[in-house]
Amino acid sequence: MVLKTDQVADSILVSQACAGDEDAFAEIVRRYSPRVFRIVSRFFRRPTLVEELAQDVFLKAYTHLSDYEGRGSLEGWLSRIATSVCLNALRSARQRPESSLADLTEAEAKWLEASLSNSTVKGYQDAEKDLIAADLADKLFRELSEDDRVVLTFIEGDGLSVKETATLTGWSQAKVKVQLFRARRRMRKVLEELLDSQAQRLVKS
Amino acid sequence: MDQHVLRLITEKGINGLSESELALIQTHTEECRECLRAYQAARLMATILKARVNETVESTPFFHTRVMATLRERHSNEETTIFYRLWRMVWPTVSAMLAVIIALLIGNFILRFQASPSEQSYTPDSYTVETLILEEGDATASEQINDNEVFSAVFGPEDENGQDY
Repeated sequence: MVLKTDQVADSILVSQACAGDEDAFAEIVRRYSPRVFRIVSRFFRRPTLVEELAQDVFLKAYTHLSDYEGRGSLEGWLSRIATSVCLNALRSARQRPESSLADLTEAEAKWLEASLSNSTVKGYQDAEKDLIAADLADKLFRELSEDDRVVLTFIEGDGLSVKETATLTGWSQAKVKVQLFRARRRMRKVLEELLDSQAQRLVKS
Repeated sequence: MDQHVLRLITEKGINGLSESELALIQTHTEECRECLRAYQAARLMATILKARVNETVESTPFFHTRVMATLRERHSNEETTIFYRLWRMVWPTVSAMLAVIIALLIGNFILRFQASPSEQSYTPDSYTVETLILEEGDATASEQINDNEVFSAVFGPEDENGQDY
């Protein structure tokens, strides 16, 4: 009985791809590109850049396919490569912030105010509010290190456990915990300063 | 400022707090402005991060095609690179060998054409007694040499007394 490609186990696809079967590797890309895109999207927003980095993930996976021993899942292995590619890209893209937290837009200021008072932001659709929040997140991340960003994104954003984050990043669980503690403290301090400056602005106006 | 509240917020995060812990914090923040600020900042952080991770770029339909095309292009570039690298390794040796061969060929031709006439090998037409005798057969009777002439030719002329010189 000939199995269809989508029924073939990951381990078989990997060994076929290692033997030079292009269709097998193409199937791996098809199966796991949504997962890889999701991870890369956590750190980058431009669609062309996300696709470029996702391609880098699969090219790197192809080069190191023989290193996959089959102990964990192929999805987990690819996720680790994706995290590593994103971390490297974040580090090499490290640059001066284009805008600082002091330069909040009116929409962002309204959103902050509404969030604090547990009220709804008036005048914006739900999708717009999410976009405002995501823009704020990017501005905040510029004040933090890449390691802080990774650990906060996975644990606070995605709801992953310390163990899962350690598996993705290749760090020890102890390092993840310490990094998380420091990252939360730093981000909280940045937000507190932001809230103070917003309060002062409201008092002046 | 209550360090216990701060530690709870920082260690567990807003999403990791139990109901009792949340109640404790909310009660405390009614009286402590600084802890209230810290608690608000932590809540904002969770909301902002959740909104950020919800923003996802979807993979495009032909993404896998582009990946495979890039892989094939990379393979063909690598093959060209391998030959190029091999050539770079061996070209000094090959060039030296070719230079020696060319020098030897040129030297050989030069030496041949520069040889002097005295060094040229001279092979006179040799003649032997046998040739004389054999050629005699072609001559007419009057032209044939006699025995005395043969001996003179081979052994030299005799003096008047019949003795050889």
